Amino acid sequence: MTYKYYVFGLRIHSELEIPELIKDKTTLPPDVKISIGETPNELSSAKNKGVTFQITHNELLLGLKGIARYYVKDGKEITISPKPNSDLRDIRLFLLGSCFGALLHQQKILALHASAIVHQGKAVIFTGISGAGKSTTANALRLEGFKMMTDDICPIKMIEGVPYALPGYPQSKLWEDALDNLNVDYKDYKKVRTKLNKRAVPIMGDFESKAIPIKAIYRLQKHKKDQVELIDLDNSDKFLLLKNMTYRHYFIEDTAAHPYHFMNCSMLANKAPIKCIIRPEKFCLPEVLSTIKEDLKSLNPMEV
Amino acid sequence: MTKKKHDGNIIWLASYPKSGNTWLRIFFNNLLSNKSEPININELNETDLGSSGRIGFDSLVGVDSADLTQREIDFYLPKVHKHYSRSLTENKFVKTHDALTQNDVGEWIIPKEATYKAIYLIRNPLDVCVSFAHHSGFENFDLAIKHLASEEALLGYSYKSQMNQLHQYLGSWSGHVKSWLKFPSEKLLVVRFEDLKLSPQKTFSKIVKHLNLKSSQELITQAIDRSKISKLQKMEDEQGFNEKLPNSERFFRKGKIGSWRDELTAEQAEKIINNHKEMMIKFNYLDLQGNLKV
Repeated sequence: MTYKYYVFGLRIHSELEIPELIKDKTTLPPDVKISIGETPNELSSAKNKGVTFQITHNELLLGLKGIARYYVKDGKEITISPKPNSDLRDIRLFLLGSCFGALLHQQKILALHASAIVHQGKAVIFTGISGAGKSTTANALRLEGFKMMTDDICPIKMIEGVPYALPGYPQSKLWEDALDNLNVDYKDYKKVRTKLNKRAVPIMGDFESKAIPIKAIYRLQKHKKDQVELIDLDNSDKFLLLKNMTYRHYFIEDTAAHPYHFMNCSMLANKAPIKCIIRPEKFCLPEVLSTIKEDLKSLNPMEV
Repeated sequence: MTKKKHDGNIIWLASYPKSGNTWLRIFFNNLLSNKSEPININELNETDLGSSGRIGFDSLVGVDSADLTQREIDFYLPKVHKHYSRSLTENKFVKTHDALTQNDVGEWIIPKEATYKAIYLIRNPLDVCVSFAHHSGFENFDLAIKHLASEEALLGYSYKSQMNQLHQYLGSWSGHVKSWLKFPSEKLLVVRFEDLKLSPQKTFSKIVKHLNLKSSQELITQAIDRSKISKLQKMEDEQGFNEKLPNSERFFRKGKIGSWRDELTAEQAEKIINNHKEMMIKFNYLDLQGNLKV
């Protein structure tokens, strides 16, 4: 049986059912095929090797203990070899994360480690390292009525010189304390993994499923001061930010995507408003949200 | 720094928290700096930042550590340390508060194969307790006493939220000390915080010698002077310190020997002594009759 999905701007045909994704009802040919089968034991020409992965210019081999081995090739094929008794949720979590990250690199598409919402028909992107508050910020705005278009990975494509954000899938991952802070009752939401107190929050009703132009990119960071600060960046800092905030950027070294990554980042740095929002360690979501909203107004003076 | 001659290239700066680890890091940063002035406390060499950093771990494991369970993180940590060690072309300092433990498959979290040398810093638990209470911002000595006695104590762990750092298994103060005594003795030097304070030249020189660092008595004297607590406090007053916890008033507090005497009640002190008698005797904080020596 083949399941058909649409995610990150790609049509997927998969032997593995991935209920998190939006179904593709067209008869168009797939961009990516996902199959269950044998994966290579190693990539002999790999120069970039981590503890769990090997990378060549067009391949990723990732082996996660007790979960699965994944082989991603040419931006077109993903082969999964599940470990005995592994949990399907776990298999899908790392497929939709690191494997798609590598696949997007192989497709030479810039993908930021980011969540995104829609503001007046344009994408507002929140990027930052893990734990910076991307999902919490995006979901807080979603709960105020803004649509959400992706959580954790935000691919970006230039269309006729305009940067567009591509949609992910209608699910968000949030820690239980973040849901407490958002006053969301999570008891009916499944855990992302059995042994992790992180919940899979469905965002079906308020999901944006089309690619839309980017309005702004905010990098979320923490500092030791007491106030929330908004910082403008010059073009070289914007470039560095995009390069460092690229999803699984450490996969790019020694791959064919490397020069494209440089080019994609520098093009985007010139085309999009990119700023940093730096907040104290303590909970200060209301201040962060009002800083964002104020700034979004200033980006659109006509609509104030 | 010493050129690569061995498999292991990591120099572990290990300790239970609040035992002088940051001071030691600042000393090395000063000793190995070519600058004509003291190093800035907010610009410490980043590779020193520790064994618990998520970014380095994630980039070697290929997934987000926030999506992994504690057991999985413990499974990958020894491999991450060995991989990092192999990638180095010279020895690097890595700070750790981890007790020396093994993961589910029997591998040491701090593997000896990844190690060039290790310095284990130990401090009188009575002073550690006081410093720990202030550092956490709760100022609750009874809670700190319990923490120092808990075999399950972890740093950087919360079951329902993501912490900035990876979890580190501490265990009790005594258990922490005992665990590190199992490290291969040719690689390990145990140093008392009190000896660094009372005989800095002699004790720092011993450390420098253990690590085979090229240095001189003059440079060691200069680095000790540049790392004086009064200077660190002044720098923290002027510009803050980015490793201070949000709840605590300041990071570089007193750094004194015996400040517990002004803060703990006799009952509190007795509790700590009872909990940690064996290791306190072993490291000369108590005599065999149970009398305090510091």
